[in-house]
Amino acid sequence: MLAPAGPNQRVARPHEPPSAAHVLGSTRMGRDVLAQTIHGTRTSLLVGFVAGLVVTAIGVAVGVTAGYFGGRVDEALNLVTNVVLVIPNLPLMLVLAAFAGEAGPFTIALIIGLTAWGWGARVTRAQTLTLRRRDYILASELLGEPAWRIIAIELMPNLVSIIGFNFIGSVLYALITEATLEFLGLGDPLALSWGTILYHAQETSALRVGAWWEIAAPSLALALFGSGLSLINFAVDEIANPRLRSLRVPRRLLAALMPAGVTD
Amino acid sequence: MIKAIIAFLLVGLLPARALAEADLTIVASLSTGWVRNFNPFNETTRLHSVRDFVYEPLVVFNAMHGGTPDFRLATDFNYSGNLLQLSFKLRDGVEWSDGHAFSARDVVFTFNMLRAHRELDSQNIWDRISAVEAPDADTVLFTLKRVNSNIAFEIVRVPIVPEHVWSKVADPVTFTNDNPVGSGPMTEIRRFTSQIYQQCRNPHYWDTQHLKVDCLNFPQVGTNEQLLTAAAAGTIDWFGAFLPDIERTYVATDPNHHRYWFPPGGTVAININFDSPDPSNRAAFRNVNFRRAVSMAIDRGAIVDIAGYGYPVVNEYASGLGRTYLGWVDAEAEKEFGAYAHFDKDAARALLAESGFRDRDGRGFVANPDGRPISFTILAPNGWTDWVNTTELVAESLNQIGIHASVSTPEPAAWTQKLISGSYDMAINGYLTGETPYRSFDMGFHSRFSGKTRFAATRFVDPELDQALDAFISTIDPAAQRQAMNKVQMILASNMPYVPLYSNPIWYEYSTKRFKGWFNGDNPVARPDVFDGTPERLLHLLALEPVAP
Amino acid sequence: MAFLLRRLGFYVAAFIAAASFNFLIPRLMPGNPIDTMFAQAGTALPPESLDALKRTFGFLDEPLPLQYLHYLGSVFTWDLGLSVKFYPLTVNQVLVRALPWTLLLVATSSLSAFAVGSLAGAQAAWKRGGGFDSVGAPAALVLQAVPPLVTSLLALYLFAISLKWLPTGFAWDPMIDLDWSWQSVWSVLYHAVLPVTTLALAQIGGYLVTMRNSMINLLGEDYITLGQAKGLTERRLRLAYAAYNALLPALTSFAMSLGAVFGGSLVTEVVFNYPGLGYTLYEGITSRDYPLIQGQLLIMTLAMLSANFIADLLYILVDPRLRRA
Repeated sequence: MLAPAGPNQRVARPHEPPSAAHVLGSTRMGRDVLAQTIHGTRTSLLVGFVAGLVVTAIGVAVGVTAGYFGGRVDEALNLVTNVVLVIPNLPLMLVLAAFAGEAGPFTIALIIGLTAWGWGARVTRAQTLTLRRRDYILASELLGEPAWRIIAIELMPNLVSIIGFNFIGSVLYALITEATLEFLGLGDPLALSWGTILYHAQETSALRVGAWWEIAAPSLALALFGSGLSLINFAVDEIANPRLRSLRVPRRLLAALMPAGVTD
Repeated sequence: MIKAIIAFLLVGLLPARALAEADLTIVASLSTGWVRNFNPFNETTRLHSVRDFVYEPLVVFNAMHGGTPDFRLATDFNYSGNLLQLSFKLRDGVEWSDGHAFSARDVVFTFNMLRAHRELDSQNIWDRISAVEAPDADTVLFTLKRVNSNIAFEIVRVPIVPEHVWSKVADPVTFTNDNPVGSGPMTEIRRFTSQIYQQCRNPHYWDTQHLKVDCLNFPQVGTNEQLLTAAAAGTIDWFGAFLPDIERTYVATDPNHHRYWFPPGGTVAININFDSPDPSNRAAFRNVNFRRAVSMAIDRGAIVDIAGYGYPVVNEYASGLGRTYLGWVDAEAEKEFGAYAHFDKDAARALLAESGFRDRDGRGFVANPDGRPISFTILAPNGWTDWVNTTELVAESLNQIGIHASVSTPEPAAWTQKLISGSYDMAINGYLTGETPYRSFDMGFHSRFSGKTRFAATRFVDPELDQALDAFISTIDPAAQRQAMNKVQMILASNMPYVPLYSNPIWYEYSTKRFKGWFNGDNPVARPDVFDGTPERLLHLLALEPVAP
Repeated sequence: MAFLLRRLGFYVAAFIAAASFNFLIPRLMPGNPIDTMFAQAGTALPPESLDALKRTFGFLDEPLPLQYLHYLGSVFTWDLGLSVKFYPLTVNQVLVRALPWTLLLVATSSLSAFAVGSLAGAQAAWKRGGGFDSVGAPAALVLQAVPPLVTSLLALYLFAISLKWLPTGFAWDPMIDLDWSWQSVWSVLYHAVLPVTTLALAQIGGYLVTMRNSMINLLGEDYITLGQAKGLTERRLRLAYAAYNALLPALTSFAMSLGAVFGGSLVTEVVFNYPGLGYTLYEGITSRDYPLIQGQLLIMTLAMLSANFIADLLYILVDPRLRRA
């Protein structure tokens, strides 16, 4: 709605510098950079949120299941989680995207979601483990409440902050990763996002010919949005926990970061 | 600031580079790290400086000048009266780089090796010849399976290797030929690292009076972007690359020395699949008026200007012949059908309407006369930026006359696969050049290639066209050849099985700082590029000499 | 010891799982390296020759389970076959060629980022709410949120292309032969400045925040208060008591972040034409060189596992409770 013109319309000469008509200049193909960036935002954010959702969902499901039920289930899930954690993420995603061929934004979101959930699962599991031994959970169990109810009513509310933390972090990670994959030419170049704008700019040597505006807009968008998310997470940590200055948040973080063998 | 200081310190400590004066620095191919492989028959990973520079051809046929022969290891060639035999007379006194004499036995050995190892025979030459003999030490006699006046061009593309070395090689397919023994000007590998290698003069070279270059340096360059960086810094003498906005990115970095010349090369066209898997698209594609409307809808000038940075030359020949072969143009075919290869949006719309392609549901896109909708994607190989951009502009043009087309960019391998298997609707494609237009027309439209290579992707088959192409190579009479070629052009122009866009430029950039004698618009000796596959680069190398200091 | 053994068992299981996954990926996807290569070369090799070539490179059609057995065998003997893209080199040779450069980038950048980040984090926590803490911590976060892609491009453009202070590519000056002379060492360092710096920049923020938060946590603990009461010097308290214990989570995040660093290294190597594992992997991917891709993922997984193992060992050193476990 904010965009001045269709993002794929040729509205100017190739590589026109910023002017009143084209506030952020034009690309090699004569498209309006502002329009492209604005429309690209839609895709980039969508990929970020979808991937973030998938990462968080899998992470919570695996983490809570492992942490709550323990035993064999825990051992198996923990192994899977650790395997996912030790296979280097970005290289793996590159391979998957390349083999998927013409990976559109949705495919990329899915690939990120399916490969990047390890950290979230580990953090959630660790927190679940500590909560699991709290008296009120044990009490509910003794009262014979079904597992799903304990998880939904007793456990989840106490996991909200860590899930939120995980979600925001994953969105940030997905944003950066999507841009990287697309920049490397492994996405669908015709899908419009910050990453593909950078890809096209690089392919047409925008910086060499002095068309800095083509790189500047998406880079700035990425950096600003990324910093924003990162600061939100930091702020949530500082404020939402009245005892930030106290012990709870950091200890949780600490627990979360402990390797599998240490906390149980 | 600290970084700057460190940087300056480091620069100061680095040794000054001492390059020998007659070292020519070339980038003939992009690579992430050189690997020693001087096997000229290896199609996938051989170094691109092996052919022509290590192994000299028998003859270099100058494609830019109608295939005029420049005799190298051979001094003459002749067809027998019935055109079923071809003999080459070899040059006296030629030696291999280890001092052994070169003879007809080496040629016979090489061809027989290809027969024994078909995977080395990348041109499938044994499909057309039946025997190779050496009646005497200076003569090689090829017996052909059928009359083929084009065969000399193909035979000389086979690199000739020394029998006394290669007969001892256990497996010539996997052989990497680390220290090649060759007949060409540059055979000695003086230095080889993954970042650079150096190929120096052959101490036994026969044409040493023309060879003024001592060594060729091949620095490793990974991407076009890095090539541009190195070239702009003035470190590369001879290369070929698509450089965006070249006047600004390359020429302006050293206006006195940095030069380029982009003569027209192979045709780039939109292929229309006659056997499209989609029946309603296929119906439209088989209608010549639909194809003509597609062609007239395309603003070739704008494509050349925007997608091609003005480098290519528009191809507005209905036959797709292109400016590369000006001397062969059939004026009659162009007079009759040339209009269909020129941009005229209104005429395109009118032709569609006239032929019953109308918008039936008000969505703004035409359907077949029988009402079935037309909608397709045009394929362009991912990463080939100028082609992808070209295709986007084509789709835009088609949308403007009411044809529903969009772009899709599969990986190059998938694109090739689809062109070969025929599972596509439209695609951008490029054609090879040759000594005559025969090579690209034959590979593109002769029915024997249909469905076998990506060039023959349109699946347009016409027995008359096959006949005309066969007629062209069954004679060495120029008048008869011209007649056959006119026939070929007339058939293509009237049927328009593909939509020519432009002649792809031959990518060639050079620096006059250290060497002179370069081919260019004022000195158009031959195709000027340095790529593997352009044997004329040997002539180019021999034309260069160092600039006096 | 039991702890260590359990971890070792996990590592073996993880490695086999990763290796199997690695086997499946390329086989589930279409396309093969020979076709890709010819597509790019644009030659018109007849199908017969193409098939002969595929046989030469060992792309045989055998049943999947059999292929899997052969593959597992080759993984454990570390005989990964020929690279297609870099023929005639074997995958091992390609990896050996690239590995040192990536290790150099990853190790130098990670260690320096770890050192700088942790020290700064400790400083920020000690002077909580002070000037450094309120500016440094958010600044570090911002830095961390900027993709390495953007920093690399920016640095390349600024320092290599525009100012010409630093080289635009290569791991050393191509005109010199690499040995242990001063000239070579300088050349390597000179070429590593930009890639290492951009990689390190992306990591500092994470370490800073981790260290800061766990320090703040510990500073409230009784033993620190006790130490203060005992009249220990601030310096001793800060380093020997608080920072030492806060190192634990920092160490974990160090091991865990290695995967991300490999990823970042890939981007950096591509941008700076640096001949490391990442660049080689990128090349392998674009040319569908399965053997090479598999080797790459295996070696990166191994590196990750080793880093985790070292972190485990360090834990035992730092946390005496584990020795008894």
